[in-house]
Amino acid sequence: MTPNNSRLGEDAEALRAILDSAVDAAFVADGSRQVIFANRSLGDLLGLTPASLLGKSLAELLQIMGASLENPQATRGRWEELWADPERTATTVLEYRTDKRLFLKETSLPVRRQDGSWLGRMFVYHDVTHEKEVDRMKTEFIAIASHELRTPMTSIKGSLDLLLGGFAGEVAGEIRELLGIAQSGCERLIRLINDILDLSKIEAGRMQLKLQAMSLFDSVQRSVRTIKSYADSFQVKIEIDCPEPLPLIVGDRDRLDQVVTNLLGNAVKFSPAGGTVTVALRARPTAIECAVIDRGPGIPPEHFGRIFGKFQQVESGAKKGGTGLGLAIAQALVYEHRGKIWVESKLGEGSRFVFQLPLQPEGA
Amino acid sequence: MRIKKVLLAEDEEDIRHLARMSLGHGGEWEILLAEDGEECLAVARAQKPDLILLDAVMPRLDGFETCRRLKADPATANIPVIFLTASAQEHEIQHGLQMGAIGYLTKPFDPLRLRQQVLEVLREAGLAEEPTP
Repeated sequence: MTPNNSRLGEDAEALRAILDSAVDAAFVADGSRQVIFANRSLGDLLGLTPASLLGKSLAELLQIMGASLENPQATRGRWEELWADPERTATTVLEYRTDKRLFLKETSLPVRRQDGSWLGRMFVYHDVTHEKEVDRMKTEFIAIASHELRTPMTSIKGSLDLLLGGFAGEVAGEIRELLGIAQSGCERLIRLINDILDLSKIEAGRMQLKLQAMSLFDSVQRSVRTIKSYADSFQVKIEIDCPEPLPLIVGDRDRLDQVVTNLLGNAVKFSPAGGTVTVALRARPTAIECAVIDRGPGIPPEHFGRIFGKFQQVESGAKKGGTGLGLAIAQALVYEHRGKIWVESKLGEGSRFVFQLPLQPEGA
Repeated sequence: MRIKKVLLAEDEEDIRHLARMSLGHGGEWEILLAEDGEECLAVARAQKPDLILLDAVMPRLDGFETCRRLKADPATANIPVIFLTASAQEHEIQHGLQMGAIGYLTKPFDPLRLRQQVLEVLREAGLAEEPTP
């Protein structure tokens, strides 16, 4: 122990002054669940003096806070759980309404005396209202931007489609070629907008999975059909390797199709012409595993860490098109299914993108 | 039922023209236009179209509220409504269907297929158009 710490320990008044000047609201309750310390920020939050809170039971404190808490029952339940588990440190965000709406991050941690014995629990409330607001604005911005981008894209792509479809007379030669270039650029932009919207939904926790019992094998078959013409354009074949019937999993059909399609699109893009991409499906003890295997150039190990990041195509792939969001979306969707996803690769030999989905997800 | 008149409510001028060209190609359908929800309600009452295509985000009155009012008015309640909108999130689609629409088409749409898609929605809703003789 340093001399300074020891002096603080003796000077309760100094300690109180320090804790009172903290911006975060805090209190400590002892083993008998009575408040033995409350700082000034907590008093300000509750509109009471810190001294008047001393000696109150947790139930009384909850009653005082409860009027402003969005969900006091949840707080009561959480506090009960925390008291049953003295060592646990837990953090949660709660909504608190006084004259304005606040979001408070509650952190609860055990407090020990110098000899290591358990003194009680400390609760600290940090105002995260601003962070929440910024987060909400970001999500809203992305949603509005995507909507506003789609509208002009609809007119550009629509006009090109009508022209190329012969609605305004025959289009031939170089004019057709140029219109075709504009059309494929449009399609790429639309894919990008859709991908950004998907990712923003997942990141905002607004992607609602439609969970049902489903076969991952069927999902792979559908995805192979979806990607076939794309693979043909790269002269790449796709084979499915599934030696035995697989148990069903619980998942969102469309979203898992999207995962497999994204991985397949990636594998096809990086395969040599005439090459083959294999989708290997296996039942593991607690999961179904799907590996998408290509014989492309492989990924340098230093890129493994960020390959699932947004807009993270490695150099060799920079000219390969795509939105740069396919793997990020695949990863986010697998995580939404409480699964795992990773990559294994050897330079010059190819890559294996593997994901596993649990056979019995928690709470199922 | 046989479709003769289609009312298209869309605030974006470009999209309005595009959808009109696309739906009206071949001259089988007469395409009526409205620039917002209020105008859509007025045209629907006055012209009694056989089908209404509705954008969701429009000034004055949005598509969802327009749909609700169309369904609440006995004069227009029986006209099938299909959303044609860039509001493509799941909760928006559910909202549109709850307001009484029979289908939900999202932008960007393929103008070469739009008429076909509209006919498919009508078929799925059991309102198939009689085959053209």
